[in-house]
Amino acid sequence: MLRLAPTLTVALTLPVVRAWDPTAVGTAGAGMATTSATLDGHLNALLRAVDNTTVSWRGLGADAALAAVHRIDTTGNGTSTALISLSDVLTGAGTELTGARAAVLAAVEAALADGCTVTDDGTVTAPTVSTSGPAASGPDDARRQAGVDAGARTHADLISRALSAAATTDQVWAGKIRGAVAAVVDTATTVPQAGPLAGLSPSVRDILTGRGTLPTDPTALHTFWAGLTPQDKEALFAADPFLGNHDGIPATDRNHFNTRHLLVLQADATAAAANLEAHRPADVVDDTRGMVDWARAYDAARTSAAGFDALAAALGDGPNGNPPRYLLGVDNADKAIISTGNPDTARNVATMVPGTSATLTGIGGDVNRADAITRAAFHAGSPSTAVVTWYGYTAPPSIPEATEGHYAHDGAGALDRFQDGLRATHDGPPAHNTVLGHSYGTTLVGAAAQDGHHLNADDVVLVASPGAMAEHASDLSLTGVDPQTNGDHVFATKAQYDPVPLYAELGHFGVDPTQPSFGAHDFTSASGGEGPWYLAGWNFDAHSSYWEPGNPSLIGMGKIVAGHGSGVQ
Amino acid sequence: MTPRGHPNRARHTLVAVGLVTTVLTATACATTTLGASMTRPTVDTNFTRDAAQTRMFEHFTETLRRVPTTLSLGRAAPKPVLQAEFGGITVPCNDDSTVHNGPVNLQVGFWVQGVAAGSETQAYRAVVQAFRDAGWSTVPDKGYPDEVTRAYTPDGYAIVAQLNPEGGLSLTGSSPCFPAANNTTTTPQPTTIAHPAG
Repeated sequence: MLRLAPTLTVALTLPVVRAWDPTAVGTAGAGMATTSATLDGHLNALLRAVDNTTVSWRGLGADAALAAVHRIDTTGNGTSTALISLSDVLTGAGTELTGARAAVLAAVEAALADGCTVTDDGTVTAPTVSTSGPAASGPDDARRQAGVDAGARTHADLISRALSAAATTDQVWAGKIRGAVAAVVDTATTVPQAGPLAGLSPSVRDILTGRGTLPTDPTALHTFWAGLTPQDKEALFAADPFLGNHDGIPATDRNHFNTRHLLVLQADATAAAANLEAHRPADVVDDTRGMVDWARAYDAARTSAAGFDALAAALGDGPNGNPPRYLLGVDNADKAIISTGNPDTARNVATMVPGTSATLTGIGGDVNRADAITRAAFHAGSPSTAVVTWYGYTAPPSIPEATEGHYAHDGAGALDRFQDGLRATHDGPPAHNTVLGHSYGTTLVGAAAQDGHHLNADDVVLVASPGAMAEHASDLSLTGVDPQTNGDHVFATKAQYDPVPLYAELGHFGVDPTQPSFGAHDFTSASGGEGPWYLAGWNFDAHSSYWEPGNPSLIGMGKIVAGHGSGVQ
Repeated sequence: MTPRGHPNRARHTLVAVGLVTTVLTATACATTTLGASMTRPTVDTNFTRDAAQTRMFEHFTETLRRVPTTLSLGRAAPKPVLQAEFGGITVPCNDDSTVHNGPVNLQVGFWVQGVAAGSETQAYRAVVQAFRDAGWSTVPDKGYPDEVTRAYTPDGYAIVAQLNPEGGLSLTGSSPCFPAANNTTTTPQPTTIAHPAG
């Protein structure tokens, strides 16, 4: 009987790994994020209360109270940020330990399925080939036993390696957790030093005094960010409330700063609309120009407020255990980025780029489409998934403007950089990254992979494309992918009756990528339903049918996002 | 593979290109008006999310009734390498961004629980047969033999059975569209559906 003990140094046993509950680690990470948000809320309430009090309370006592509250606020904000860093570490640990545990259990399961026995320390014993029965014979048994023994050796090696990898993962993340916990304790217990720059890292002091800048390259920024203290991050945020939009900062930190900033943007926009409403021109006849200007400003303010409200609602709309949502970007120019699931820990990460008329007031619908793709990827076998709704560009406001290419060219750099940021901040092995464009979004995706841009994605999906600024799939530059193999990495689909891809016939944005001459991997969509005779059967509703569960296109997108695109037809 | 366009492509391409470049470039309002008059089924203004959820769960139960009693539905991942399911979501029924708060449909997913190791394909086939026995039209996806089947009920629901390479068997359902104003629910969504004979 062949017994094979682990060949590598293994500090873990199978019962220990089986008993791991990485989900609890991830839950603890989510708990830290919740604690951070609660702390933020208390700090805001404290500041509001003191501000209200000092309206009527002036003098030395009031000054002392204000100073004390601002010290608390400084320490509190630093602690909140440190908690987010701890949350990030715990979430990453949960994900990595889940993968390591699954690998060990899968290796053991495979050995057991072949009839081997596996002891707690990972020793594998090969089964003994039966010598009874009419077909048995000495030499045959020996040959069969040799084959079984060879299989057992393979199983022993795989189990040994999986256990070693799990031990390493455990050790690495234990160190990171210790460091993050220490930062929380330090921040919460350290009395802030006097002066705006006191206690900050030299590099941060340089940035705040205009002698330096944040790295613009996402990878460099990620490295720089890892060396900052919570106080450093708070100081940078105080100087630039758009800090969370920088590609290269981890997703949990981006979400932390952007959700705080969203509260301010939302309040400002609502106040601006209310202020305009209170100052409506009184006399339309005598001041027609004034009324027109006022109406324009009022509409803009209300639209802005409605956009931020819709964004806040989309972030909070996580029904029934939906994956958590991360606000990766927000500005005051109708742009935002929301991720369903944590892109820094997911094995499969997709970025969904919408088309014409993508404005914040409609972002909730696209986030729900991202949920639908997330579910489709789950069902296709993805072990962990994040889908980003990327409103990171100024989309054509309506169909007429969608005939202009500059919206795509203008947004290409931002998408290119965003994808680089996803790659830079990902924990553990690189994720499988997919970029999906719909309608004009495909034109932007194409622009982000040409003319000097290199899109950091393993796969690209072009849905209902009016053209991707390319004549052939190999025109697209995907980081790390040989363009000659782009036929395996660029996917395209359209509904039979969707008229939008017909725009490609004009050739302004290149050819329809579902055409064979383009050389993409074409996959099926439902027809979309034939339209009326007076539109020659074309049906505009077909343009939005791609996310319906009964549509094979959604199943196909799920497969591609899950990394199983080669089998999609 | 994507169909190569309209069946009468050559005859209609010119017309359609004209539509895209002329009709659609008129105004966004014109697009909205045209869109409203096209072939999308009329949305029942009395149809609600709660009603959609109730009916969808009846369809799921109807499916379970026709498969072995060991099977049920739940959110828990059936294999360690898969992810736990989440609750119902509502997805816009159209992409006309000039219209906000348009109709939506409810989408719900479950993993099939109780599938014995090695019998995943058998369970998948039992589910597909249950669709047929219920009288629903079924469409096996091209390129996914014995892997994905879509079923359509006479009352407008779509239910997809999918067996993935890791051996996870799932059911996803979607409802007909209902007005966004009716997208509220007072009924908690069950996280499991037991076999009716269980």
